[in-house]
Amino acid sequence: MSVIARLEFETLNPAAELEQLLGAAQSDGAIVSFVGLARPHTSAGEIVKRIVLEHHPRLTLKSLQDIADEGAGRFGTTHIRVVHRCGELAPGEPIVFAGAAAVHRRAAFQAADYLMDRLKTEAVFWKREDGPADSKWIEPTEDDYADRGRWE
Amino acid sequence: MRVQFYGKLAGCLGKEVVVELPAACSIAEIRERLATAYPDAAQALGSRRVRACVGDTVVPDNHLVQPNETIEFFPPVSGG
Repeated sequence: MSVIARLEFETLNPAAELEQLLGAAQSDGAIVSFVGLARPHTSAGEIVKRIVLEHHPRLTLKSLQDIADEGAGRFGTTHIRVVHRCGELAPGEPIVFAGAAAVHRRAAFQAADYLMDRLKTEAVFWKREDGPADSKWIEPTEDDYADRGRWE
Repeated sequence: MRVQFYGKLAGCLGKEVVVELPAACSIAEIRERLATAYPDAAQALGSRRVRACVGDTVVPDNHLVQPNETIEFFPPVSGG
């Protein structure tokens, strides 16, 4: 069993992360992975030129580790892999990779879903969308908090 | 006392301010002092969703902070 959580300061390569998970999961029956991308538009349809993910020098990685650990202990998965970008991202760049391996698919689907719901609302990042004219800090929506609440 | 900010709070107040305190002070009192000094950020500083953190631990509003400690204020976090 492995639980990996990493803060990525440079480009996140989802294919390489999946390859690592595939290598670890040779005795398993299922892998589910999620890749989040920097969107080119705000929820209001305005152009986003870049996304800035500010992080905390100690608590951001700890939050990723805590979420990965709790996901690993909850669904009977064999391997968990969470990699999250910080810094400046251009639209289309991967922000997050969340992957789970298990003997059977249901546990892997549930773990990946759980990881993302918690990352959206509890990973210690502050997210800013920079447009051509102004910038806006993005906070979780009520739907995000409701999604997180499904697991309580 | 050093007070550090992140996210939208850092956007309007800067990453750090120094507050002169003669004695220990609660988080609630520090929020009020800061809100008075920086009215543009008063609403955010008073929000229950903006959490205070001392020694890498989130603390409640009645937590007493010593003058030599550092407080961090966290607006709502969001990954993914």
